Amino acid sequence: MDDETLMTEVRDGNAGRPGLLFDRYHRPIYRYFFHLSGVREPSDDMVQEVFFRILKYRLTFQSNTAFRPWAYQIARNVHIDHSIRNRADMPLSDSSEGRTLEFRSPDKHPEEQFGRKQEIALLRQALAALPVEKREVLILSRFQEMKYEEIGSVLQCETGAVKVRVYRAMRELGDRFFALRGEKAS
Amino acid sequence: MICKRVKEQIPEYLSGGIEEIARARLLEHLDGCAACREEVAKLDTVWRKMEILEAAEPSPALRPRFHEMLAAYQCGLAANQAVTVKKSWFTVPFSVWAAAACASLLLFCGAAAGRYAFPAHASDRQTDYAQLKGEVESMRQLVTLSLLEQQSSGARLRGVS
Repeated sequence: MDDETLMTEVRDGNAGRPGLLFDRYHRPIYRYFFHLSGVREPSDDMVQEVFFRILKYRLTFQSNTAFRPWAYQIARNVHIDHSIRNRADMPLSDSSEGRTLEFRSPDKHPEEQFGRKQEIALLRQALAALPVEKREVLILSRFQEMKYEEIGSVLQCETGAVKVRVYRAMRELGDRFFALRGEKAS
Repeated sequence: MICKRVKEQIPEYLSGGIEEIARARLLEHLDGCAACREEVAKLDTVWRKMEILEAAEPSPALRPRFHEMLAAYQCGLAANQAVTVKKSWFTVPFSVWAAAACASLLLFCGAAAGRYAFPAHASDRQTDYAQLKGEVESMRQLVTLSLLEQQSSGARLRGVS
């Protein structure tokens, strides 16, 4: 059963369906928050808030619209509200330990692992330095693997504008990353 | 194909989401443009490095918390539906009809009791009518006199007309 049918049933009062939507979406939405904010606990809370709002505003869902952009619009609003409440843009933490962004480290050799960790730390630092709008569009495109049309629906802008924004965000991330690595950013 | 448009297509090209025709045009352009090739190489490095950022997992507590919230939502939904059914089919129509029936009964009893306790005669009705007519007439005279005492000529004219 597709997401739209499930959500239509939720809207019409089928109380068993929200669990299925949660199973499908809680991880991607968590990662969206996690990459956006860089911290675990508020990301958990924000995911909970998204599903609460999905239930609360279920009657506003229209059957002929796609569920994913609708859900991410809610997620986006939750993040904005959370940022306002905290009076900060929730920058990604620079700390490489604890509850901040982590990374996979499949390398077994300590030197390789160290080099990899260093690169990831620089990438994380570069990502944290991006303005939130650019970080967001990159996360939707790179980590959520959304098509530009879907991103356009979430951000409420044209597909052409999304294309330009993703490119500019990538470019700025590259510039910052290579500058931190001490290379010339072309 | 101009470089600006090519560069804007690079993320789509790297993600594999680019259309076949656009991809062919882009590759054709890259063959002859060193600057764009360099840009692709740079962004490709960043794109690949982003891949190794951890696919973070939510905490195990998230699922039970959601199910607690869902259970509360389901309880609320069920209670709401029960109240709606009760209101629409039983309580509201019954109470409305009962109130209407009581009111009608009281009205009927009151009218019947009045008729039997104070039976009306024709002469009494005529006396009442004459008395009422006299009161209306004296009221009219009072209004006329008060209009004539007004300073405004318009008001005085209304009093005599």
